[in-house]
Amino acid sequence: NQSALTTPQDEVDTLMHQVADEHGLELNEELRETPDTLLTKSKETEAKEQDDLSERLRALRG
Amino acid sequence: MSRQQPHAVPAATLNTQALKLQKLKHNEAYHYINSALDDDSKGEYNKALDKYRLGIQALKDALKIRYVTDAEFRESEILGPKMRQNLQAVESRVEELSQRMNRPGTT
Repeated sequence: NQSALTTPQDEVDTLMHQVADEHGLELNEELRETPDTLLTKSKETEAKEQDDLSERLRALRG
Repeated sequence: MSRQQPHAVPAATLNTQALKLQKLKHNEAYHYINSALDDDSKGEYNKALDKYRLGIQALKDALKIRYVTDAEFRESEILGPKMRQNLQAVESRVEELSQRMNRPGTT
């Protein structure tokens, strides 16, 4: 009876493959505990934040 | 006839688990490194070092994520090269500060 086994195994597999080492389990656990409301920044904003860090790091070395 | 919306940058609509994980780690890295840079600029090097190290870990986590589809990989690469560059820069800074801190008699 296959229908008895309809667990969200695909989802678990996907999560397991995202980070392929032992640390990956912890990361996925951390992600599961993070509400989506904390993950609303746009990629554009994130890219700008990384650029800001680059700029500040460059300034330190100059 | 309705006017076409100008769309300069296509909105990022992908929101897979892997991309959420990247977002989470980006946020962490940004938080720690930004704060480390503040400490660094005030001469609070020990505090800065601790935070830089946490930022490095977050960047490494982010860069370890595997993407399954081409679309999510492309999306991840908006940040990927920037993160790799910042990882390198922060690691250099940590090395520099560590050496400075270990040197006795620094004025």
